[in-house]
Amino acid sequence: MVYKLRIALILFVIGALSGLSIVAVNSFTEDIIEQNYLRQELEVYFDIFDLEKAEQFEVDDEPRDVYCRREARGYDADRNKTGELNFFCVEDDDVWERAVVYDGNGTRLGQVFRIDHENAHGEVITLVAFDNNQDIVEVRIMRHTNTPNYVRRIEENHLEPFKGQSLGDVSFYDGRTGATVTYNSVVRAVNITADNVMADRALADYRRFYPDAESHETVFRYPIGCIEARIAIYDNDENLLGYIYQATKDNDHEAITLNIAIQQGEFLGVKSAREDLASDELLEALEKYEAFEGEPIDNVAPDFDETVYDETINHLVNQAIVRCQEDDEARHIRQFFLWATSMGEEVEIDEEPLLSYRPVYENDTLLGHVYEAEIDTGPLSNTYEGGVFNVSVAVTPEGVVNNIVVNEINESGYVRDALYDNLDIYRGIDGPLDEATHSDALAGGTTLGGVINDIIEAALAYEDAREDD
Amino acid sequence: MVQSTAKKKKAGNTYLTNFVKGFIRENPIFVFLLGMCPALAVTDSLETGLGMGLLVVFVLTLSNIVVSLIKNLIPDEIRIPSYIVIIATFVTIVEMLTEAFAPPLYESLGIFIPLIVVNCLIMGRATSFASKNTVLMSAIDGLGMALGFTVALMLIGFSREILATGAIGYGIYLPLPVEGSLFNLSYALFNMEVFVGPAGGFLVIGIWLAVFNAIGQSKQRKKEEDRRRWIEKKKREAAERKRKKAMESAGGSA
Repeated sequence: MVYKLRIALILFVIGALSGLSIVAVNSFTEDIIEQNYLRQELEVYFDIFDLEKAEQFEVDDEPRDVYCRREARGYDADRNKTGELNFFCVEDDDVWERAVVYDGNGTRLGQVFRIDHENAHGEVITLVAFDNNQDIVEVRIMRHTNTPNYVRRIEENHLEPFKGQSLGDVSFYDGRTGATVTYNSVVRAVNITADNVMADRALADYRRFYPDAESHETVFRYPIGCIEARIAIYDNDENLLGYIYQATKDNDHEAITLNIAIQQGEFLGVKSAREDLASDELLEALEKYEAFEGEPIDNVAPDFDETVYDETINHLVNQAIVRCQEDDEARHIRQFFLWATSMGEEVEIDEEPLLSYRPVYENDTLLGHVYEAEIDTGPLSNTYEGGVFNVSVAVTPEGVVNNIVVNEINESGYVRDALYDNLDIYRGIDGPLDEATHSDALAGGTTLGGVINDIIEAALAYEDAREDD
Repeated sequence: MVQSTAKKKKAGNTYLTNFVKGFIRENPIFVFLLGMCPALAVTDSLETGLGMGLLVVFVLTLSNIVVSLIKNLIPDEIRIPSYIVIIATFVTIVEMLTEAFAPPLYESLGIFIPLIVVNCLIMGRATSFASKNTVLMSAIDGLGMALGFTVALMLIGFSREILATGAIGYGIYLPLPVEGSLFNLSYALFNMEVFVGPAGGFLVIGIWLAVFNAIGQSKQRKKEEDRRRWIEKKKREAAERKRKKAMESAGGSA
């Protein structure tokens, strides 16, 4: 026993001395390493945009505003500014940060996205630089822990083809790079950049109708006819400015996607969703519709027949207007059944946890019933308060769950987000929940998943009993 | 007094022999084929080879010293794990120092710096030498072996770089005050890119192994030839002595 304790003590002492040595060296090198990386990174940004090499960098770590994390300026030997970088935080987990690059005169040259990815061989930090036209200037592997020779091969042979490509239409070189894992990290970085930039571009598109637009939210989850999405546009204070209906139709020549803006019953205009890819003929055809701008939607009934595009545009605009009119009338019930037009009287139920149900119709056709249910879990432990959960479940006459809407929930953060993510799995369920469904739901938060399970099972059982009656 | 001087001279010779043995006679790469992973992976240029070699010098010398210092305290059961912790500590330290003071080298060597922990040369010297010898001898052994390893890496790196690029760069990976390149030969012979890749590493190591083996075998043959001559000479001398003796005895009897 004593011998074993002696061995343990020796191992402990060796481990402790080892740890202390590493900590000591780390405290000595930590700042130097950080400074090295910072300088190296700034030099790379300058190099990508062919800015004159800076002899000295000034980094302002104090946030300029809530969005900007820091600024960096480079100076030559005579203290002339050779370039400037403004770094912004990006909320997306995938993107570490975004840098806007300016030359010494303050002219904006482009942006750089810095994206980190942990692949099977370690970490890869990729810089994706693009100019003001969203064309890729360069893709560069900033840092990595993958096999150096493979990465070098990618750097030498497979990053060049990205140069000059538009972020809206990037085609990748090929997968046979000799280091697929690393190359996939690079491709992922380019994709993320493209997605982010395109999202920004979408906002820029929406600002053509709503100059104060700051954010947008796609309301329709599923396409209805040629209307693919209804996009709600919000200003800086999250006030709803209006809607944009995004509609697509193939007119035998090409797929045409249009943004049709309608604000409180007023037609704001119609434009191509991808003007950069649209033909001149399409843009010309769309100009005719400017005549309706500012008109109440009831007065907008385009019936042009001059170009090959007119019929398609007429159709899409009319569809958007009809959809908008229907939305205004039946907005509150559309969340349960997409084609709903009206809702029947509320019928109270005395079967816990169900409170009531209401039938939903499309004109005279019964689409299903919406059950409202409530469960008050009360405090469940010292750390979990629980609370009231009020949920509406839409069930078709065939006993299939069509949608679930959470009305009241005493949760926030991750658990709530996970629940919303998991609600999808209930759609289409037509009977008692199986083990897999339970598990998936429970993964979103045990109590919450359990509450939703109970409510759905109660609604389905009630609908089943009604069917039997 | 004379005895003491001879003793000192003998000790000095032992230190010197111990130090130089790693360069050729017991070269870790070309003779024992130890540490082949970095020898193949990071020797695409002279500088990276030298850089890796210097890191191994640091780790091997210090780990040998520490292992030798505490050899009597460590029971046999925990010898290997203890040595690994010691080696890993020095590797971590050298990794942080490289990252701080030679970032391009750190980037270039990448994963192969942490992999020094499992370099069989280092563990081999710790178990076979440092754990049985004095601190000074262990330090000299570690330094000599590591320098021999470094020379081998540089030799491979030099060959590969010159064959692949026709030039030898300096100041690119190591923090030297100047940066540039030597030779700059632009003949077709010196633009064989295959030597930058793994295949080139195998080829060059194979060639150098052949050279070392050829030299070793030639020395061995020469040694055997000398020995054979010496034996023949001795045989001749013995026969001569025998003949003389026979003649003398014959003359005496006459």
